[in-house]
Amino acid sequence: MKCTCIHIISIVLLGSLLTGCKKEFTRLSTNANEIFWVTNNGADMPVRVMGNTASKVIILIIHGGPGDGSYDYTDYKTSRLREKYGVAFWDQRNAGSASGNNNMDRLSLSQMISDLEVIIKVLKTRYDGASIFLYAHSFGGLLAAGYLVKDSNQNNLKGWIEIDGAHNYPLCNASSRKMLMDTATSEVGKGNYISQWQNILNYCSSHDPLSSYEISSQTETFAHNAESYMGIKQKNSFLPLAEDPLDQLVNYYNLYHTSSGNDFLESLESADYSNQLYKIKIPSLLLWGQFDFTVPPVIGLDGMANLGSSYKKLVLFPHSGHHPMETDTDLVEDEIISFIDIFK
Amino acid sequence: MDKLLKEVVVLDIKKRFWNFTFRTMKTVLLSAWLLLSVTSPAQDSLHVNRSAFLYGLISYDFPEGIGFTIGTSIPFHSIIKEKEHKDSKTRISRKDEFISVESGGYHYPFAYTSIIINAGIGIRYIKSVKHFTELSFNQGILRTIYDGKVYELDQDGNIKEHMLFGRTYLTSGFSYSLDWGLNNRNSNLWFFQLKPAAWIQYPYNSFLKPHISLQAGVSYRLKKHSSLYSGKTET
Repeated sequence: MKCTCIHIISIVLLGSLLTGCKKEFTRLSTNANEIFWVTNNGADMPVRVMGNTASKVIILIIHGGPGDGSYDYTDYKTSRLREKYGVAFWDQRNAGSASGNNNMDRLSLSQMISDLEVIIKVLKTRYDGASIFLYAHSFGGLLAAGYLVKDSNQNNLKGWIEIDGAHNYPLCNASSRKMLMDTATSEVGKGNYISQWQNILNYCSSHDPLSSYEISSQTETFAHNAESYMGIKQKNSFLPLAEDPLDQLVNYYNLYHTSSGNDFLESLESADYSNQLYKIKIPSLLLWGQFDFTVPPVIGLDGMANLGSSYKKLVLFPHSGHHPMETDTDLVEDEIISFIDIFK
Repeated sequence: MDKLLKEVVVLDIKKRFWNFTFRTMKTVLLSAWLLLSVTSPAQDSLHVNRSAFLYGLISYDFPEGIGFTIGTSIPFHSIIKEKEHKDSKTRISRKDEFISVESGGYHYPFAYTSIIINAGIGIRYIKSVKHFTELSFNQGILRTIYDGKVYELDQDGNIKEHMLFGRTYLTSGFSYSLDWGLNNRNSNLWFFQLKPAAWIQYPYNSFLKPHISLQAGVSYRLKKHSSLYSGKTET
């Protein structure tokens, strides 16, 4: 029996060594597919790097949510970008496949900005000499803005791309409500989805999303629904956001059904970097879906008005809502490629 | 004064000695009592041929984990029921309660490799010579080792690399296995085993991560093993 136990342990250890010590693709490649992890203050965050790292350009995806994952971006949405550049898919803490033991109490915007600082530092070390660009969507826009206005962080980057980025939550809430009410009035007049729009109009007329997190959350749900009433194609499943759907279930449970998760979400309601955007001097490309009711184009205009960049450009996509990279993929990629080719 | 001090020291040593002796006695008596409680029913045990099993399984953990498990289960108690049916034939059903120890590993591509060691307790329902099922509860420990390099910022703000970095979690789960004899004769030694399992890994991001696994492989009955412990019959 003792002998059997020793054999079992030996086989397990050998097996783990053989599978655990996976060969690392440290050299640059035109078709890279590699992973590394960054551990910071209780969270272990994966960064999957795919595509043409030999280009010496790395686009770091800062996904939205919070709580989503970067896996959702590994498909057609970035296929042309991966042909030309390396794309780094980072799962933020308590999102995607990021893991750890007891770390929910450390979830905060400032902690996530600190995580982003470490991620970029590692990217610069690992891909020495590469030009790094941020690709920040939705909540990722808030995170990216928070990173860029802090200290001299922006000097690590060649430029940033904000896609329907929520760099000012209170303005998002107020403009979302206004856009919903204006569009509802217009659509009811046209006879489109009358009962649905009337419901939205009734709710938004009597509820100010700035007054509570619950109202803000409900307004966001209406904003999501409104896109489909306007004929914008949407994915309604959250499962593809992480490679393992069970990870996504855990992350969403933590965010929406625990006190630490709720505290974090509520703390974001007042997050606003508009008055600090003047500090950002690096080239900025702002891409917005015209029918984004969640983070309306007004936020893009706010970015244009406040950014201190000498080069800043806002592009509106006429057939898109909150996810122009899904609905206007080619146009979005064209804009990004042109931007990067100028500033890499 | 020195004398007095020595006496105090001696008294203190004596006191500690008696405390130690008393504690040790309590432990020994408790252990002896536990041992007796285990061995006494053995006097009434039946000559039931309970066999230990060794098994090796290939595992699939939803959605992308591939791995293996090896383990052993040792029965410690049997319940045999004899039932007389209308056709006046006596049918025997048997349950073996067993403990198990298993070890395994999973690899999740572009994520991590995990090593798991489990201890379990379960019931084997022996339906016939060629077929039995098992229901078991497992408690274990899991260690992950991340794929690729792991980086961390040190106190001086420099990037440092970790080797074989990962996290340790506890696991708990249930599994249900179905076993079919692979030999033609009555004395089956090899069985094909199919084992779905549901288990949780915790604390994972301050919560728990559910897993759904399916394992398939072979189990081997150790022919000469016979359990020391008790059995009983019910008619």
